[in-house]
Amino acid sequence: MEDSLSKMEPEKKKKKLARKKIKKLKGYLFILPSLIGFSIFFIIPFLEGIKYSFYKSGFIKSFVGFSNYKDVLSSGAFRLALKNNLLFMLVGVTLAIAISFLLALVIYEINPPKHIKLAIILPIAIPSAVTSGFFRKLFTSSFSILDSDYAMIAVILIYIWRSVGYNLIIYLAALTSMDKSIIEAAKIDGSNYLQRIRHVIFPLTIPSTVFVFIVSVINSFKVFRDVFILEGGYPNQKIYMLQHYMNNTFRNLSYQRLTAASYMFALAIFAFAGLFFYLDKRYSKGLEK
Amino acid sequence: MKPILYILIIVIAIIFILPIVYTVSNSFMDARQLETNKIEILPDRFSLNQYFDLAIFKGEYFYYFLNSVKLTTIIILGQILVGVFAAYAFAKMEFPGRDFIFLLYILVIILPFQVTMVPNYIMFDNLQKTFNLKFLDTLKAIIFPGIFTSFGVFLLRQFIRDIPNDIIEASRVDGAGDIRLFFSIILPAIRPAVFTLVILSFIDNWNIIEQAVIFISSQEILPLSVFLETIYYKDFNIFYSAATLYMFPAILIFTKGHKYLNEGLNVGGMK
Repeated sequence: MEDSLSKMEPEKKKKKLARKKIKKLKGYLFILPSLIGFSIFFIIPFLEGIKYSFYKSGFIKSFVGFSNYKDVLSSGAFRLALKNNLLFMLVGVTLAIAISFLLALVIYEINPPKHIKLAIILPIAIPSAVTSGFFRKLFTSSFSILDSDYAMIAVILIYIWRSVGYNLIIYLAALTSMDKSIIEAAKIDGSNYLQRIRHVIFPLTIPSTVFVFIVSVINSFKVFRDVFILEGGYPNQKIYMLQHYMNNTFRNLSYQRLTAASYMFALAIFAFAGLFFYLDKRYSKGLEK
Repeated sequence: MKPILYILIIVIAIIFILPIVYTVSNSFMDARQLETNKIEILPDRFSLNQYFDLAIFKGEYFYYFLNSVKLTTIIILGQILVGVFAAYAFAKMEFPGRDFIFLLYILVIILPFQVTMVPNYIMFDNLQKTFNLKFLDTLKAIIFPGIFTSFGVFLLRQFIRDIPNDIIEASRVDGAGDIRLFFSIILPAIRPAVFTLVILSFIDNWNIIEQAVIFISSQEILPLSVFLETIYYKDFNIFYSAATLYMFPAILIFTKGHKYLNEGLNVGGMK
């Protein structure tokens, strides 16, 4: 008896090890379908594209260093687009976050019928081409700003209209899940409503604000759909965006420039996102202390 | 204070809903009223002419609607099918490189289409040259990258991660293998996440524009999200009826399913 037991021990260990290995392989098995597609359509070509960005042209495959990158950076169209995009994101994203925070506060306070909330959120589901009729009439016939120097105002308004819904959903969930006793305690301490917003509610919703910010940035790229539908590939200079620049570079078949531009675009976004996460982590650490 | 806030929120709700109401009400106007320069909300005379004209004389526009249906349905089904397995592995299984691969998935989510358009295009080109697979100028050029976008995996993973390990362990002790566990515990638990994904993916793909404009040159396979613009310029007299019909499924799905977004968008939060 004892003999057989001692024999089993190492065998069991072996089996356990083998099972662990199988478990590891199983993980790969589960992600495989997704990973293959993700690699084929995103990762591999993304890496291959780096090569293109250093070539002279599609036909002349000689290494030209960073000259494609320099070309892009010194191009007037690119600079114009970058300037417009930054302005749009700075004003648009800030306004969208502020408006949705205030709206969420009001809705949280007065708890209106759910149809009212639904009406404000519904625009996120409406295709851009559907409302092009309305917006074209509003911004060219009624207030003719789409072809003026103030075209950016129209774009920002459309962006706010279309993206406040997402932010509102996130903020409302944060507010309703907030511990009410903290607010009550602040009330007893004699704080007024504004003080409570500033010192209690706003800090408590910071994690949601981070998420709202990311969603707003992603949505800010999608406003291009509306601008493209309204104004086509070559809109008024004031609303010529990076996406226009890249679409048009693509159509002119200068892939080398385009890849260079897209890597810079990607790098800027990653750096920005990284910085934001870093600040968020530091902030939440500070809160814990 | 409260009555003022109440009025304020009602006014804001009306402003937000206005472009939608305008589109629907204009679809019941006759050609004469459509041509005015003012924004008119109420039809002078309720007319169904736009819809009749659309159905009788412009029946071919229905094909563009079908293109949109086809494209959106395949992408959503594909995303779920491929996504749930990957999401489960990222959330509950351990394997080397898991966190690094997941980081790549997250990074690709925040990139705008114009950045991934070049990689997509390079790959379509390669697939055609090496394997003679035609993607460009077919709906496949939109569908395949659409299925493998990483957002769905990310969303589902966040949900699966929140399923307590105790439940999973308990069913393992009962002798459930990975497959049974997956179908009897995980899938039922993430139903709200799947609905969220359906809604968000629908919203995005029903309004697909950039991909179609860049990768598709044959007009007859364009989705209605793009072709609607052609209707605007070619057949303005029926534009609002086509727009209303195109908006209808979006509103239907959204009003039925928006409650899932409350939960769905919020586990999306980075934890």
